Amino acid sequence: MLSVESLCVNAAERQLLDDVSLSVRPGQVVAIVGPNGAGKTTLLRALSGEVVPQVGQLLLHNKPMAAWPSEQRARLLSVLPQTSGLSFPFQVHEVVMLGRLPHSSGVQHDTEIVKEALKAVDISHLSRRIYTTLSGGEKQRVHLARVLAQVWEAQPDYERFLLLDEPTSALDLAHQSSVLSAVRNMAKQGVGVLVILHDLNLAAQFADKVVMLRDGKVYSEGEPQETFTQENIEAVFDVDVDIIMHPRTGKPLIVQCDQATTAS
Amino acid sequence: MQHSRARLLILFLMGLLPISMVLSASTGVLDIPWQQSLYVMIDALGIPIAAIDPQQHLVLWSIRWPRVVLAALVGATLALCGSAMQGLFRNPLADPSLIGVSSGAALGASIAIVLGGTLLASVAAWFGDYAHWFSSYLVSGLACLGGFIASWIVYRLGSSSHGTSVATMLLAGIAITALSAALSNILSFVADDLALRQITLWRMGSLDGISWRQVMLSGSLLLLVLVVLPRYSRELNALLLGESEARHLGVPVERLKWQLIVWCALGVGVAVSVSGIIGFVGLVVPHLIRLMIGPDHRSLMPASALMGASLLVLADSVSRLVFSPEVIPIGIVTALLGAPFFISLLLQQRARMVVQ
Repeated sequence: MLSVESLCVNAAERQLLDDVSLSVRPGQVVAIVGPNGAGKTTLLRALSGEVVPQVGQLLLHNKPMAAWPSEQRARLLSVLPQTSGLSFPFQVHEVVMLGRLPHSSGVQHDTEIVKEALKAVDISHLSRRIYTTLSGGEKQRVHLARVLAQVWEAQPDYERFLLLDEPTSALDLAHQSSVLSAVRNMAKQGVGVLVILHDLNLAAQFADKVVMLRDGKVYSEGEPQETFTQENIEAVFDVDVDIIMHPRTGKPLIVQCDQATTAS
Repeated sequence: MQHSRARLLILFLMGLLPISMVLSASTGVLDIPWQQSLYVMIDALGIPIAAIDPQQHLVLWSIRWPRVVLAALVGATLALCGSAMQGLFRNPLADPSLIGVSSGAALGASIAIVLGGTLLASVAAWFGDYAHWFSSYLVSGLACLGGFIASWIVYRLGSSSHGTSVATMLLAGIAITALSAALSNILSFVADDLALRQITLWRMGSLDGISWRQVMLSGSLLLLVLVVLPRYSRELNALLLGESEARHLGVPVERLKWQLIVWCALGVGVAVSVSGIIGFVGLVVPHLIRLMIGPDHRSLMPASALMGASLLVLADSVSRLVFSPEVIPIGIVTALLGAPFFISLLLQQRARMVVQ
């Protein structure tokens, strides 16, 4: 279990997170949604132990995050930041191999895992390409493969967790769904996933639980059907929407009413 | 593919180094066949191989070989520390002197040269018979100390309770470099002609008059750096992703940063203290190797060290050959070779940026 309790984070006299409590269970996919500046990334950074909260506690398997030895923590918790500053000409498979750094599972075994991780996000054909020459969407998938490789195998005694900050922001439609199904597969093997998504419909189709943030507070939390109501979305995102049922999945489908067209 | 290319390059460089060392030992005012310089080394290892002319033996054993061995160690250390600094700063144009170590060493050396006489007079009473020993190491010792102090100040300026900011450290390095240059210049200004010439020559870098005792003393420290630094290669690879990414991969980033700085300050400080300031080796060699085999520090670091060693050994032979019997300072040779090369790299990079 990965959990935070009554978390408060302040920076430069601004309250970024205000009394946020949240937990991710093994095998569960939790989506964080909210408008710009709602505190989504801060929450993810706090969960990964990178931002130290002023108030509140961060627990990984009921043990404070800071108490974990860094290498053991890295075998259980893998984090995909929004952007990456890698500017050195590594080959793609070398970048993904970096995900195996906290493990000492042998080169041959790691090479196999790298291959599978590349396949999972559909970039096997880029394996020998130079990272710096790739497109934005390709780079994003390289880093996703890297964080997947980091927690690819079950660890003795403890369940694994995956924190993803907008993993699909640079992807085309086909890769959005293939990447998210790769993540879903990890969840099926018991990995707890927390993912920030901008696309509410992706969150609705994909997540077990949705947490809606507004001004650093949890506005609503629950299954997609409970959270994605017309009132909630209008209150948090300030847009006029209708909710209909997805004809195939039965999950809520959010349709935005363009004010310009309705007015005329 | 990149991996096997790296292995090939390292094998090639491992062959190149002994060849360049033997060749360098046989070049100079007294031209000695290369076989002789090889025999002297084999002989020194306790395997009598052939009769050696006593005069040639003297030149080779007491003058040339210690110089060649130290040149190799200094070149390897500068290039290795360069690759570590470029990884730490995540910038392929970083240089070991960025942390202020070279300019601090220059200040220390200036102090020793200008104020050395006065200093010695005041300590002679305490040291008695050791005063002579003390004076022969004064310049190296103070250069080394100056290098450490400067890089320590740079590191402190870049560190806060939130950790070490690499960008702040870079700016602090520039400031400390300017400050120590100003202080050295004050010393040059008040120095007499002899001291002034000595300071100037020291700044140009020189491997003149190296004895085996110096090789043992400084060389063992350099060797230690050469053995320890490559152990950080996996963590340096992770650091290239960014500090928070490296932390998520379980790398203790803060500890890594200060340890790298300590080892580089030690390596460059000792190297500079015995040879003066030798530019461009730390910058150009890792850059060149990266172009050939990619940025993986596991092969980049050993390959850079080997190439830096060969390069400095060969540059040292050039410095002895050009105006023979005069020996020009080796720093001039490396800068003359390095600067045009560096400019061509910059132009290449500019061309690539236009394409992107």
